[in-house]
Amino acid sequence: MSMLDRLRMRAASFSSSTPSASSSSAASSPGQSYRQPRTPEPYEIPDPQGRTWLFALPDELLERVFVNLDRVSLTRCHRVCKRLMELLSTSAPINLHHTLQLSSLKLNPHALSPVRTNPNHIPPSKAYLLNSLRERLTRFKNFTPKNSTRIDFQEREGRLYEYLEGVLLRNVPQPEMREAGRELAIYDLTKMGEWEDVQESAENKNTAQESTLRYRAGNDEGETDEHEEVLEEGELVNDIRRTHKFGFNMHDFAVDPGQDLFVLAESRRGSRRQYTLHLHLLTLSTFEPHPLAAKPVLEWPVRLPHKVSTLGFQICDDGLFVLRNSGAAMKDHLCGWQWTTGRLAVTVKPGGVSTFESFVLLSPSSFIIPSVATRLRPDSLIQDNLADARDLVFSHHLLLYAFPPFSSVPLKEGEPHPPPHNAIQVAVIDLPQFHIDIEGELPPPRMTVRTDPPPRYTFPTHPPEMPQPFLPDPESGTIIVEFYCQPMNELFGRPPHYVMFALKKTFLAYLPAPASPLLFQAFPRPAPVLSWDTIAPKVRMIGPDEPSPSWVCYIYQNRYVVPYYDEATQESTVRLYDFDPLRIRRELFDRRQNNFFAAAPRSHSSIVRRLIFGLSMPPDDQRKGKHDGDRDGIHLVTEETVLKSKIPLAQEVRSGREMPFVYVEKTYTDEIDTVVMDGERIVLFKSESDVQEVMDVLEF
Amino acid sequence: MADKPKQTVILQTSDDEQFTVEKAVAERSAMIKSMMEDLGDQEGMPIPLPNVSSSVLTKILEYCDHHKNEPLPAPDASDADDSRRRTSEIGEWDARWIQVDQEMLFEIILAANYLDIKPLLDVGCKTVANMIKGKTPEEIRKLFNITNDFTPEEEEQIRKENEWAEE
Repeated sequence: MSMLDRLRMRAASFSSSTPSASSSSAASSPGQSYRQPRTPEPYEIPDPQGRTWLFALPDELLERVFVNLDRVSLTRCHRVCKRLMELLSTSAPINLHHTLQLSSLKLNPHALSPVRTNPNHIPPSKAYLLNSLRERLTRFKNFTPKNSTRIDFQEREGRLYEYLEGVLLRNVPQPEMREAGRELAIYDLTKMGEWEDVQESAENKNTAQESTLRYRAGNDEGETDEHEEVLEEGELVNDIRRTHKFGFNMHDFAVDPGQDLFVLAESRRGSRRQYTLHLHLLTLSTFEPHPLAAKPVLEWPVRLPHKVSTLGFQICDDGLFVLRNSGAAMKDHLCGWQWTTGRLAVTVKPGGVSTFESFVLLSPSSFIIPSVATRLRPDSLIQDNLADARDLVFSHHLLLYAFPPFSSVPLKEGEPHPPPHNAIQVAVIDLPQFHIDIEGELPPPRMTVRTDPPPRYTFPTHPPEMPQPFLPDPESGTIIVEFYCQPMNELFGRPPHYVMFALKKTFLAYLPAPASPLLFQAFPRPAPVLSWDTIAPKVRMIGPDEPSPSWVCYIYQNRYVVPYYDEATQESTVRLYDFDPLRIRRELFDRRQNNFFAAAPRSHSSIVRRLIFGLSMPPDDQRKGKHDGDRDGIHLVTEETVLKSKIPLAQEVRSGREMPFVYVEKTYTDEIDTVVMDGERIVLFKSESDVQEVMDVLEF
Repeated sequence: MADKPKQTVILQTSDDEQFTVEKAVAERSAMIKSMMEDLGDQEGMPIPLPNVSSSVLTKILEYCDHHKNEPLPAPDASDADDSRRRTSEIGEWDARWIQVDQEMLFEIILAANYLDIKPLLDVGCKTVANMIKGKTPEEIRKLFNITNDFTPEEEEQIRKENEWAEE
């Protein structure tokens, strides 16, 4: 049924029901409330003989009842009576359900299924999952990984990287070649658990060799004695690393390990100096065409004048989204395919003279896109050159685009796919103004946006024996927007870099309903504009000397990880931020309960000073009653962040009043280049020498 | 198919009433299904259901009859299938069918568990969960005739500890 038909039906049903509705409302007395109280269902009337039917159910059935409850209702049930409190605090399924809710996580049902092809496989019990989840949450909270494993890279650093949920992909660079080459190296960190079990038995034999592996053994009793493991060098890397050679040069790639999907972009030279861009849909396990893809190769809808284009990818359920950033000759272009059917479902280009700097999916059918807009200065007297930079005004925005969900377009076999939808701009969010002076070599800052994982509503099925058991709720999570400014040597040693954090929920509120008629309009009205002042309290912007985080996966659900290197001490401090609103509420309540109040600022390390650079510290007497600060290594920040109006910022920026956060830190005695993470681990990348790169995998 | 006479089975309740039921209907119960398989050809032999009264069975057979043409859940249905089914809402017909008093509701749940009718068990448990949703502890006590055996201090203590998760 088309949207139009549905609207007609709704209009028809509305007009037919109107007379009866008005007659019934006329009958009600004027004193009655607007909404009629609902007549209770028969089972909502307490048993007249005073029997407690609820407790006629055995515990296993009560468990089935309580795992259907939402977080607030389940929490409240704890104080109904002792019998219920006892059950709720001892039952593994209920506790798992509750712990997942409190962390905005979902349980992957596939993690509980036996594997048909492997009769020896025993899926984990809910009690086991509960234990490992609780341990992991505590370890992340205090930044105490249960082990740290060093892996030596077997190839030099190349141009292409991808990381998601334990799978790291790098191109194997060819000497003397600028292109990425044909060879791919895959490091599967999810195999490390299996490997550890094997090593544990080997531990008894070996004791005296040089250690290449350390790990902290943690068991259910919370024992944390540090163990040093011994093994032959290279053993581990052979278990987790493999390579694959393709028949053509890799242009770029993307991965979704949970769907065993690897997308490889190939740029082919066509006729008349034009290029075509092909997206190969392969499995990650064998690099054969993916069995769920109706077409093994998707083609970019237009031919391209350049061989090289910068691509950004997002894979979310059956959606594959690719942003092609152009040179000067073409506009930025964002395309989305339903990769299972091969249908090009959505395309969008920026309107006016503006850019799509980067993008992420806010939901499976909406984008958030940072954009730099260029307009003519209203008071400019255009002389002879339209492109004179002095006549232009640059401004930074976040654009929200939405499109009909893939499932709303039914496909008929044998018939051509309907044309793609144009994504509709549904909101514009103004960002702070930057000082821009093209002639003074201060161009507008570039922007990126990131959040991992994409807002998936399906659950990973790979690897079949051990798919990731806990997945972020697709509506939870934090988005980071970065501003990369030009270096200003006289003011700062390195280019100013601002980062802004926002909860996904803040932006989800501005999306229309997935099937809203708004999304089907050929000529939509202009999107509403939200001023920076409206949004500022709900987001937090820090800078200007925040270090640049990694290239991929440095923000996972609500955690953000970044290394700070101190040249004076030659130490790196890895800071782990957490923006999870519930987690922070809990921290605040705990501090209030324990009468913890902020201490007066003490002597800070250079690391802490860097943060404070961006934070206003009110005088001591104003800090009374505040719970901010360091408690057991956990730093809480609820204060507003005030960034001074100082080049490159063109205005004072106050933000974060409604976006508190916590962070923990860990210091390492070497230089950490970059850090990536997921829900189970943090990976530190270091260069030991000019030729040897290593990664330390911290498992939580 | 349509000409084939309907195969039936006899079910005997705790209050010694006998019900002659179409096999496709009785099969909704994994427990009865396996008993029928065990009995084999011994037609006419009643299957005793000592834990189910005739009033509850009448109600449950209504449910089974309505759903008799749906595919049966796999016999080795794991936790995984359970959690998949649990996320879905109660169907419209089921919601109307289960408009019974508390005693009957809980009898149905217990019987569904005994008879091993997983989808019905879920409908029942979800209905009870919906009764609890959004209610204060006092409202829950009233609804189920539960006596509050906490002292006011104890209750306040638990409330304080969990306050952060209650909004």
